[in-house]
Amino acid sequence: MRLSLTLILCLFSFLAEAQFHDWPMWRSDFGRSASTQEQLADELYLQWTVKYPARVPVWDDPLNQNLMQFDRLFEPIVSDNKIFLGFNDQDKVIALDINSGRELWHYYADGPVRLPLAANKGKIYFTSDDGICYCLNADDGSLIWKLSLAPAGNKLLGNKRLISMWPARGGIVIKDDIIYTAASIFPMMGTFIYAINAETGEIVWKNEGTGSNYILQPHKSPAFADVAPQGTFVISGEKLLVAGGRSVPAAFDLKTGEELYYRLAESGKTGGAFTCANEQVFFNHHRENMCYMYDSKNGETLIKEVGGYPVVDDKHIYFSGEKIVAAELDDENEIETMWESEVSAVNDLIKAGNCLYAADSKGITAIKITDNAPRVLWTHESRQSIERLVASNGKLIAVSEDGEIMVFGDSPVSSVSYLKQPESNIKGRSFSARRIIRKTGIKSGYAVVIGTEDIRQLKKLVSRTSLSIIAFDRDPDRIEYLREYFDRRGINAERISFQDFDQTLSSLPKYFSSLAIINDPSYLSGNDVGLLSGFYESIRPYDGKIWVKTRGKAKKELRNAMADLDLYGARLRSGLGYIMISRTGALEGAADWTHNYGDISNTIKSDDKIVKAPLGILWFGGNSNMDVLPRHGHGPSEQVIDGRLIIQGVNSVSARDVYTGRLIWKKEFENLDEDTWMIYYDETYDEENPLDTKYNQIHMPGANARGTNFIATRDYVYVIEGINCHLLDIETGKLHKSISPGDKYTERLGYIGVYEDLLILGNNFSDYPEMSREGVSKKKLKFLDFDFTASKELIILNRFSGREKWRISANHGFIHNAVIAGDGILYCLDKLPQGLETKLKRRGEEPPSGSRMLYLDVKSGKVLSEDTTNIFGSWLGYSTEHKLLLQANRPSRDMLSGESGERMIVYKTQTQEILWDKPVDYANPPIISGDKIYTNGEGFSLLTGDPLYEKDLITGEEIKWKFKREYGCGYVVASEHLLTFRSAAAGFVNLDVFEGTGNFGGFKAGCSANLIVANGVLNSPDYTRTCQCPYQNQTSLALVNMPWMTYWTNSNYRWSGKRIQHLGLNLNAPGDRTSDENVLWIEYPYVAGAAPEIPVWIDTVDYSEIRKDPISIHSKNAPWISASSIEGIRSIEITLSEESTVWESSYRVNLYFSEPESRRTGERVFDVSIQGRKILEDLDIISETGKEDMELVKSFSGIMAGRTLRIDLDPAKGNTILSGIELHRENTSDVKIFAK
Amino acid sequence: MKRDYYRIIVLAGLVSLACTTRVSEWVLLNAPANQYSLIYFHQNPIDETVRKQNQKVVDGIEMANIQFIRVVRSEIPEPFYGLYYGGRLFSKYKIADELKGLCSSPLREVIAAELMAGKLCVMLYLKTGIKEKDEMGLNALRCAIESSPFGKIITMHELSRNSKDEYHLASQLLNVEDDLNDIQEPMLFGIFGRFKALEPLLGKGITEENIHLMIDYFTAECSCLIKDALPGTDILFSGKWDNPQTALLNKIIDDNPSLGY
Repeated sequence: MRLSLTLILCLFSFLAEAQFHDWPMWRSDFGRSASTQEQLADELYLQWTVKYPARVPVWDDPLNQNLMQFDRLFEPIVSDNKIFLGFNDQDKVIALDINSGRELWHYYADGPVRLPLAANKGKIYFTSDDGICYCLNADDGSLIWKLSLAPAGNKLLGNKRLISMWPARGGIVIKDDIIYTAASIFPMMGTFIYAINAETGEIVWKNEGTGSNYILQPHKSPAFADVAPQGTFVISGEKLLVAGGRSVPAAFDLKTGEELYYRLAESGKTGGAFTCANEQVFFNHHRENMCYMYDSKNGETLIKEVGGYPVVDDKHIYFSGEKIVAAELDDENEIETMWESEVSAVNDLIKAGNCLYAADSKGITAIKITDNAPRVLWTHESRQSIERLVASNGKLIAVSEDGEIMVFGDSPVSSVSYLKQPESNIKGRSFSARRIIRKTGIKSGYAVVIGTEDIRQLKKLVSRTSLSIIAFDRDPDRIEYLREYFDRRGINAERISFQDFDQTLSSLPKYFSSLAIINDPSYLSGNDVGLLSGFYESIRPYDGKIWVKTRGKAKKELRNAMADLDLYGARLRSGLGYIMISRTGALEGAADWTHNYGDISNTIKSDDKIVKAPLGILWFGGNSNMDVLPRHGHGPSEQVIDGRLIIQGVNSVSARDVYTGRLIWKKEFENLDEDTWMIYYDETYDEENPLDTKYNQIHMPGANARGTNFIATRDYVYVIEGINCHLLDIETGKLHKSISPGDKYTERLGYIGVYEDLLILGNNFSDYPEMSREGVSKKKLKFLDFDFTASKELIILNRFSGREKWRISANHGFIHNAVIAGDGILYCLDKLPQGLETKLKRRGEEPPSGSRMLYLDVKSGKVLSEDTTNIFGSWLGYSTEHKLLLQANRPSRDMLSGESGERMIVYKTQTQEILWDKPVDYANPPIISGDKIYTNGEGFSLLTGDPLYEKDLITGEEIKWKFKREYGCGYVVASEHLLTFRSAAAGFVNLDVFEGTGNFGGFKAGCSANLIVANGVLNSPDYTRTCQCPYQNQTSLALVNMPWMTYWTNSNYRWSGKRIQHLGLNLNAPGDRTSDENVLWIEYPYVAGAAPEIPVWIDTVDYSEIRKDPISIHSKNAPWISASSIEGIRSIEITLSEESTVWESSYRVNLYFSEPESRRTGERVFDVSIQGRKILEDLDIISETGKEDMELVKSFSGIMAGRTLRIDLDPAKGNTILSGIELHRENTSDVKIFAK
Repeated sequence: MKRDYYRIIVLAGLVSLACTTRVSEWVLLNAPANQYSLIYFHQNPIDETVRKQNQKVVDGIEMANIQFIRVVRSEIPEPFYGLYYGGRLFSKYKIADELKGLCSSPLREVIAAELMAGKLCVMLYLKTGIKEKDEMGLNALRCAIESSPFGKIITMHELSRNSKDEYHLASQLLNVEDDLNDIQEPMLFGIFGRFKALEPLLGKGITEENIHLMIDYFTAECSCLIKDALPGTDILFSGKWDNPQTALLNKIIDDNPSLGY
């Protein structure tokens, strides 16, 4: 009897246990179904709550925040009676007892934990912005294994935090004990998608070859940018759906990692990080909580706006929203509505057993589904907005918008326990911190502290400054202690975080730290030269400071070491117990960018010599596009000076740190928005609905016609507002003074420019009365409105005092795009805009007299020359270097009608003679760069007007210089080494070599020109506000030269058929590129851009393509050659000449190999023959390299070839493999072999 | 043994097609006409009669580059139809009957057929009814066409600005620029693509030189900038633009390559 009772009790216990189910992943399972078999009690009682600070989402503007909601709330998972939470502010994961809310353990990562966690068989998995995938013991939080998903330890500032260059934002999904995740959110940096053995942490497969795929971007225009993994991954059938951040997901083969589809362009203006799926279809975010439904098989859109985030219970779909809609999915992917309930599930909806639980701003409602019909069980009212629900282990867990976790159970409790985290409050007294703050004067920006023994110093720095501090120590226990210490006091990691000195310091980003404090000089490893100079490189130019606590001999040695290093801009000062090193002034070779076109000479060219390809990301995020004008109004471009980037908003101007993106100041105006209304934006701009996919802000000429209304200088930012010109202090943004230089007739100021100590202002806009017809008042079309393009009068003032120096009135109007200065002369065009002149001509009317080009002494206003002939243009540019003046037009997209580029005149300014006057077709405001003029796709000599030519790297012929640009508004701008522009994604042309157009793939460049090189970085403030296109990222960022970074180009090369002198065939590469040896490497098979028409024949057996990210390849020079390869080649034949007479020539042939797979010696062995002669016998790559991913180059000279060159690969064991073929014609006498 | 064959194929021609194609052909092939909006403004709920009347209007403008929208406005005394293009009000109509022939007319049918037949452009001459003024421009037009190497592939039509049959066409042409309605001068519109009208030559501006410049535009290589910012105003037309005949221009240029540059 007793035995029976025991058995019954055991059975009962088993059954009771069996009702409990974990919620081991976000939305319960790998399909993110939000459905569990857990059957909660019919009545539930609040048992405990815990309150944490509300989450601050990673992204900064409303659209991004809606499209990527992964860290806007706590996203609990539940396993084995524990709730697990990740923290994006304290960089940690915690476990709470599900019955009491008591914290069981916590674990600190090295970066923010932004994506939901996952649990499997007693282990917890998560990723962090530190680029690492962690596996913890669920019982005690101990680390079981961790795997760096990032390919290297390099850091950058991302979303205001020091994180990996490849942050791991692939939200982990688990199936069959395999976890799937990824690192990197910018395809241009490479993307790394993984399947990992959950038990051991071993990699099952890794896809690192898709990031640079040349695919159609939004607007159906191609660029090198595939999916950017960001968001929770999902599994649908045999497909891994990789969240694409702002876009639809991409599908990868679950077993092999092969990319199956990514419908970025076809999807239109939709997409987002949320996806859930069953085996047949998936639902992806649209706007608010609305979804589109897609066919998992091929990614095609099935139903638009199908419903709110759904519960996917196999084929039963329950859509959330203002009401709940239950539907059934059939095998044909048709959806039939079964029932509707008026219960609000605006915030969340889950299914547990036979109940639905709905959350909205008022609370939670439980609904029982019986006989396929809903019945409300109960409603729990809440004072907070409930945003997330989880049902697991007998509990219903609710998460509020403001960071509260509420847990409901099946029994009432005598008193609900309320747990609360400490308020942020810290004080400290520290002489050392006070002295450092006083001596350096630095209280904001990013700071690095090396050596953390002095905790009071750290507390004082936190309490008395707004610095974001990253503190380093060698002692892991100390790091752990300090993390916990500040965490317990409510100080989040954005204010102070702690890192391992050895692992992180060497990979700090350049220029980011305003202040570095070295408390222990031993960290400098005896003043190691590499460490010192590397550390100095991480300091912000323009007076970033290193404070070294040192004395005695060590101090002297450091002083000597710094003197020996002779670092550019370094200035040493020492005092009692310290040395202070300032990084003064600009970076060596850097230059500013002021005015709308770079300078007051309208060159549209930055003199910055630092920025050159390859480029990688220095920082991203951290500021909002809400402070920038809407994109299609084409407001003025940013201006960059002394480490500050000045940019205009609708009613504000703000300054951002060039090196970190940090907002330095923002000045709101009273009426700037009125002053720029109908010029930089109009009634189509809808500020209230940033998520509206309808067209928002139509195209306008904006600053293309009006020019800028602000100028940044070293001392002040000059801003026009109505009749006033404000001087804002460049350091603080505070109003220094306002100048009102007009008179009683002044209605508005027009032109603005600064030349040396002079401020040039336009007094009133010209309104062209000669073109108005009396009594006729018509609404002007945007591109026919010439009334904001010129000023009636120019007033020249001392820019500090505002005292007027002189003024001059226009006969018609001083066209803003043609008021420039250089070498003491003010040049201006006084005439009608070109569109009006064309209109007169069409109407048989003579242009009114008085058109002229003036040379004015800028100091006195004396007319040096007045030219009334050949006055046709609307643009002037000046070359100080060559003393040449260019008259042209300003054709570009979104410019006034009539601005056609058909003619240019260049004048010698010293004699005012015409140097040349030519009909030239062009489509860009002409860029003056040295002795060249660049336009959109073409170039001309400034000295002669002739087209530019360059050497065809393949045949050695002279060919016309040109480049191809894909879709994008905005115009091309130049710097010493680059042309930058939008080309689907961000685009560039490397002026140093012949290789075509490249991309910085993975974010949208501005619709207004925003890719501006200045102060040592390529600045890209987010000038895409109101854009709804699903580009992978929509953010501000900055790029710097990173010699090891990969990039690809579309050379758009067309072979003439002349004999090939030099050629690289990069097998299975995503695009073209020119090597340091000046060899143009063309990808083969052709995948990017126009085909070069070089005939290549290839025979294969067991053909397959392998591609890795070049960062994974060990190579002396060009890892991007051996990173990709083709397996199975038997022979490859390259045509070398299509000339009628062919000569046999001698070639040097370099063959590139690497072993991309884990193989042992003897597993892949093959012979290689060239032109029928065996040149390699039993080549075994791994045997020669000793490890995989190591480049092996075999070089052969004296290969004689005529019309074609043939390479044969003959396998002895395994399959053949080849990465690249490089041909160089040698300087030996040729032999004539054939004549057609 | 499976043998794969790859050759870097000649896609360049396709890729670059748009850049060597002439403006007239590129616009016909690639540039759908911009949409007009016909908006019915009303204050009160519409009754069955108005609903049917509007349905008739919608049926009448089917296939044309226009959309019909209903807008409730509290401040309007009487309902009316407004014809909008590019955010600009072109015309107001009190009753639906006034909309007859809004999107089609005999002359438009003829012009569209000529464009589809591969003509370079159609020169549409809008007359004032003042003989002396009209004749001068017509003479210039005839001479220009006669002297142009492309004259054979250009057609010309005359239209009175007071034409009843072509009332809507004339009205739309007079809206191509905002002050044309007030100018009593003959006007010459170059029609191309899918019924796009360039800003007109006008009065004394209708000269052989200006006409040749207009022809030069139609025969120019279609640059990206032209594609991005096509000049001209679309005229309402109900018709299909699928499968036009090969541009006659290409043969002329093939036969006389010097004309192509």
